[in-house]
Amino acid sequence: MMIKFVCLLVIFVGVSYIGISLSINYSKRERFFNELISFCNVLFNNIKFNKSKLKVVIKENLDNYKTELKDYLQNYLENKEVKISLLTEYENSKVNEFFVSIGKLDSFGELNNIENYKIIFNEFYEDCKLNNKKYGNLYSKLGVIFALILVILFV
Amino acid sequence: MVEDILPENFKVYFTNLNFNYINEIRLRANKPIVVNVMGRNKFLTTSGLTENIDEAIICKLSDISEIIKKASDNSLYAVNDQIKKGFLTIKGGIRIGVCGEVVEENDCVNTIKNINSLNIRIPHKIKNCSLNAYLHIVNNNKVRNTLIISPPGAGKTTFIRDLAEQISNKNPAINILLVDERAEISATVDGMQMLNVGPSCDIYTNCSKAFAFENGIRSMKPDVIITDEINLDDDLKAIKTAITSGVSVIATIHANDIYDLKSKPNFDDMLKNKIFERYVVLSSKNGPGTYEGIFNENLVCVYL
Repeated sequence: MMIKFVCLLVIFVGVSYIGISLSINYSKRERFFNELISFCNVLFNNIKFNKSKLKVVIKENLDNYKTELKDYLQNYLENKEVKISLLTEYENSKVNEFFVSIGKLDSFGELNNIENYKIIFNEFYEDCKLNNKKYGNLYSKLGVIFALILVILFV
Repeated sequence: MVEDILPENFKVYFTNLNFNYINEIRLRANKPIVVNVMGRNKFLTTSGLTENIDEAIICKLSDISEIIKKASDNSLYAVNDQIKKGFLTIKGGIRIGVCGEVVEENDCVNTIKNINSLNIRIPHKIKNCSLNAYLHIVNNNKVRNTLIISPPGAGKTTFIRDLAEQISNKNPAINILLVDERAEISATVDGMQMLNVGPSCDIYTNCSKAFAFENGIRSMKPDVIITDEINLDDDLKAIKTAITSGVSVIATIHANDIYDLKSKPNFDDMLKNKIFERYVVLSSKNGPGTYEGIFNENLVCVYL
């Protein structure tokens, strides 16, 4: 009886966890692009008013980021290229493209470049926001419901 | 610090060289790398330096691009204002002269692209190199308006760096405004001075002399303004304004000697008005910073 109870508990927690993880993934993606846009704004202002160097801006603001962006920026400082598991192949390529492109133009060019990428990142963000709204709650609820159904079936 | 900006494949070639003796490293795309050691040009080889051009290492365009990328900290926009003027300054006051295709728009230089030549100039601190001149320039806490005359590479910048430190250390009551247009006197990078210019120096970097003179006099109330490489065409007005405001000026100018200086525009005006009270002539005859003489306002030699 005890073993059965433990098994059912494991099934319930496991299946719910899958649903909730899928749901968290959506919100993480939304937060990632939100932070990336905010980084673009910080960079834009620093280039426009201070012409601060890229690494200085990153170092000064690194602690403001809580998502995978922080690791990404940390790796950028160490000249390492990384792939963000959270993002699709296309999203990854755009984020990498952005970081490769910055620092190569004069300030006018840089500001335009940042604005252009901000448009792309905004589109990603809006998509993520929509998907999070649509599927975020759905997956967590589905996970719990499916886990309950399995438990009931096994009982 | 030069090592930080060199491409990885070059670093090994420089391991045997002592940067304390290197004045310049000249890199030209697809040409041999030239290193100036104590005033003599030699070619860089895999094992050191040589005078045989056939053994020289050839610099690639990609090497130059990599140096620019490293020197700008991957932030070209941050140094473009300097690049537009043909140089960029990095940590340690190292000045990198750049040559390439100048991009212009509406008669203004936008940038220099396809940079294919670099001249990396490494500054050296020579303690007390200005001491002999100091005695003729500063008297009873009063600094005489002084013009330092020398051809390029004869130690003007090193001289005024030391002079600023001497004045600052020996006369704490004197406030100095250092107008360091190319950030090479004080080697200021990211707001930090890398080379000592004394405790009572306020420093303007990366700005025009006209801006620094006008605003500096108003806001910082200096007793002395020290600046590098003036142009008698453009800067004389600012210097006159400073002097008539009661601020002493110490400046440097490119010329071989006093006679060479006479051929410069506005020289007569400068001499007639006795704008400068002392002229210090330097050359590289016996190494950079060789004194050729100190002259008074009437161009009479007071020290040889």
